[in-house]
Amino acid sequence: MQVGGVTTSNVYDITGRILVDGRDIGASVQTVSVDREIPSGLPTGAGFTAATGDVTATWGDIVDDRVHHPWGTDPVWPPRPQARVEVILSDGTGTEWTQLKGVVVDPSGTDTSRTISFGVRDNYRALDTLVTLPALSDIMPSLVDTNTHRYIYLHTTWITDRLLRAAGRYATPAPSAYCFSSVTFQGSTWPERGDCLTSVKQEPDASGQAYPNWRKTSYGMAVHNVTATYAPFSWSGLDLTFNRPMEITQEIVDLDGGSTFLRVRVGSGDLAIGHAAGTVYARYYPSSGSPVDLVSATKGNATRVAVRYSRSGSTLTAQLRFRNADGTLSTISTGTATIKSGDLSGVVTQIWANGTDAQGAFQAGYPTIEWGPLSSTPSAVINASMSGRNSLTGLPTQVNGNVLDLLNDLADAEFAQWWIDELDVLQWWDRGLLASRGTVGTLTGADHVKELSWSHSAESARRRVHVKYRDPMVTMRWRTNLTLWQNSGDTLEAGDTSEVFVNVPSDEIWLGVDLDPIRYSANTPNYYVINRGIKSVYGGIAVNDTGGERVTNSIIPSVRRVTDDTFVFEHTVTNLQSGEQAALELPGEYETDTALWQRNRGERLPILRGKRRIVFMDDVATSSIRGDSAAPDFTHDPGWWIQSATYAGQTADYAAASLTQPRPTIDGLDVMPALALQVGDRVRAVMPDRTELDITGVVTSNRLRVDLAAGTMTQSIGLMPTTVISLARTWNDFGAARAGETWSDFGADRAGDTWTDFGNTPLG
Amino acid sequence: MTTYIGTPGALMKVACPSRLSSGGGRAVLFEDTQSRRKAFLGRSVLREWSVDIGAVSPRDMAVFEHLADFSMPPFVYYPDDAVLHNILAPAYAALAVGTHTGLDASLVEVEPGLFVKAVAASGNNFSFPYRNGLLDQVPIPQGVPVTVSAWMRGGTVSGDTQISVIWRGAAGEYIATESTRFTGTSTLTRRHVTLTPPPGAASMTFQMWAQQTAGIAISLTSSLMPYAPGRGATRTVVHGLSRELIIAQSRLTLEDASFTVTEVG
Repeated sequence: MQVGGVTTSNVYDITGRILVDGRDIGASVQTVSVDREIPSGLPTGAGFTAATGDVTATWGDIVDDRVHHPWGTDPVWPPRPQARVEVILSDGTGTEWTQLKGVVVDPSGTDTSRTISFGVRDNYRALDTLVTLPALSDIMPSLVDTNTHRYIYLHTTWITDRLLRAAGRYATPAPSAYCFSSVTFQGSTWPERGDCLTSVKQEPDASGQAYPNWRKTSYGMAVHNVTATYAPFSWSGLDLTFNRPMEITQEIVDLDGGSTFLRVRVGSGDLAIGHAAGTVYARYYPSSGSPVDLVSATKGNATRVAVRYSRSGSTLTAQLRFRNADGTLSTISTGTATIKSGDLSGVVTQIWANGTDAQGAFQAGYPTIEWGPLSSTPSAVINASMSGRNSLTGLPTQVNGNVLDLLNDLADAEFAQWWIDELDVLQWWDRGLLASRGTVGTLTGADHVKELSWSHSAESARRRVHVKYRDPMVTMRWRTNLTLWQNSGDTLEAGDTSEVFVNVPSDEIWLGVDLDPIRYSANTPNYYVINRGIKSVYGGIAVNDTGGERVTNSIIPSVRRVTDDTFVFEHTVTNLQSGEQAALELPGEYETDTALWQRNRGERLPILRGKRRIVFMDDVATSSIRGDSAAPDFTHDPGWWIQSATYAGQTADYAAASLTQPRPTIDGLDVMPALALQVGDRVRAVMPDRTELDITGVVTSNRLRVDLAAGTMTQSIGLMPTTVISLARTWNDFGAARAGETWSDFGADRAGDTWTDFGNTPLG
Repeated sequence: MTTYIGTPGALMKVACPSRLSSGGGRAVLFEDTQSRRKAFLGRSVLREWSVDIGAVSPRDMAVFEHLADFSMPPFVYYPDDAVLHNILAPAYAALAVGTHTGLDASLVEVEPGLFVKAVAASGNNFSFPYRNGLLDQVPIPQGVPVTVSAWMRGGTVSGDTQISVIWRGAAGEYIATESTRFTGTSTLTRRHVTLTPPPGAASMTFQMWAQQTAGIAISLTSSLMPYAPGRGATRTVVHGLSRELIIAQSRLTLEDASFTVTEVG
């Protein structure tokens, strides 16, 4: 619901205007139509739908002897295709509401009329772009051989956020130019920029898991109780030296009484933001000695904080600034400290986020626009469900996947609802959340509702629901000794080059793949690992005409990663002795290489090893809710988007709740203008006449037809009822509702109720 | 019977009777909810006059033919009743919201049975008339006496009320200001001043100095006339010119001519 809520009026004065490229050009709007719809969040429902509309308008002098056309010199009229457009309507009660913010489509006109007509559409086309996602797992192997893993976790919210960001939709600020570290913490600690070095729960808690915890925020999710370190993202054009102002920007999230820290290590010494209950600190950790708080400020209703650090000689200055809930920036608080000799002089080496409380998305960098990330306005909002939430064990790599398709697949798999709203903010709602929102407005039969039409189809009733999901089988190692693939052997002659493509099977994910193999040759460097079956191995031996073996340096191997599911081994054979061939294998005879253990003799090369393999098995979960035994079953096939039996079962029951008992639907509720209404709102319609119903439901569609010349408009909304209460209160109704019961039954049913409760729900 | 038609700076006096064929005003449509009736206000429909000149000699048709077929509208059109009583456009005479810089007040009874819209000064005065946030002008014929009248109360110029007429050229450029002071009164009193436009003056704007001002009327007369709401139109198109020859003789040629004046904008 936009500001102002549902208006009630007896006399409507409908006016409208359009902004082209953000400017009101004073066009006289004649007709406007807008249609928008959100996915129902139910099985068999439609997916993402773009909002569309049509506008006719004239522009220019009141009397003109020529018409506007696309070959004219006027830059704004007629609007060019893809021009940014905003359609605003008012009902005469003093407020106006944006109905659609998007782009112009297909303008057209004739030379016999001054009227130009054009379509309008929301900005969904930007989602039609490509993205490559890395292969990931909720537990990522460590970058080095050590007895710990990187516990990053993989809520699907993180994938949603990652896909949206790839398409230019940001729930938290986009990484600025010269940003060297960006982590959204939207359900995983995997970074957007930089490399994850470690990630694990900071303090053990009752859950007994090594993953950090997660918290719901106004924009999505935040990590909780984590200690994670990151290496900065670097490239030749990004100087990591602290020789210009550095900004650290972080979302402010609710704390439970603990505190969190975000430190950027520059050579020796850390620049940091600390969050505690009610207060944010800009802090300097010298290489030795106590930390120094340069400045602190009270959070209030702020949603984001940024600290801008700069140095002049040995003076360190911190400027701390908030972004308030209304989008304004606070005044800057400034503080200084003296830099300990030798501190903060090198390059940024590490970013460390830790603390026992919740920590929001952050980025650190040397932005060229002062307070740029701080002032950015979100273009997406993720409403995450924290109970019964979907998370993955493994994310198969997505190479050049289509963002729109992937988002649709994910939403369909989880029955999530998503759309681009009236104000061009992408809304993502996990299933069931819209239905449990608070109601934001009331439509009444007297003042708003003109007509209610309903339908009730039981044709689609199903007996029960099966969810086909992918059950992950995980093999995991501390060291790189998990053999993922081994060649079947190959024989080459001098001058030959062999290229072998290794494709990860479609139902597997390989992680921690060792692409720095040990080369078996005349100068094999590391028998320790070869003998113990650690690390990848490539190379081979020379074999002569009589089968005699010889170690050789003439086989030049290399390996490279094409994508996370394709690797290429290349072997080139240079000069061999007369009659020799090169065999890609380890020697079979003891005399050839006495350092090689017996167990490895004759093994074919190359061998690709890694640390973690996930193999997906097909599995099915069936709903516990059953319907009519004569009805057919419904199968939901989300593929690898669901990987746990628990979540698959919950999904089956969620789908079965509506599929086994098809409920009557409200196809259209024709109402008087309620221009503040937005799809996704939960509203109440109280209709004491005719239907005698009090219906609360989620607005799933909104259809506007406005004739501004005549001053009329019609609005029809779709409503998915969440509760329906009968307002019929005759004793006959009571008798019908309680047929066959005794007063004892009634007393038992209503135990503890007051007469007021009875009055509110007499038939309940 | 006098009518003025033309462009600002070139208003021509012609004699022809006109009939208002469409009075303008607002269309209203109704929709029913489950138990109530609600109204939708349409856009204001603009006025239209059909002008039937009757028997006229060809020489008198020159101006209309030129306006209808060869000139670039919009034209100013002051029909007979406007000339005699009030050449202001209806919205200006009604002192509608947005047409002045003052503070809106309600209707006041200035004479028994006569209710007119009032405006309170913002500070000591208000300026008038405004359109779409910009100062508009009231076009006038050159050299014709103009009588400006209004009910005013509460002096703001050393206790006096004052009507300041700002004479402007055809494009709205400033020419001169002519102020007339009246003794301030505590009740609304009708004040008027008759002025002759200085050379070059083609339009006027106003500044009213009083705590409250109501019922402004501008007539193209040399004396005060009874009040009437705004009857003038400053943005019109002349079209549909038709002529029927009645008689053509060497000493007398007459034709029956009619055309339509439609308000735009």
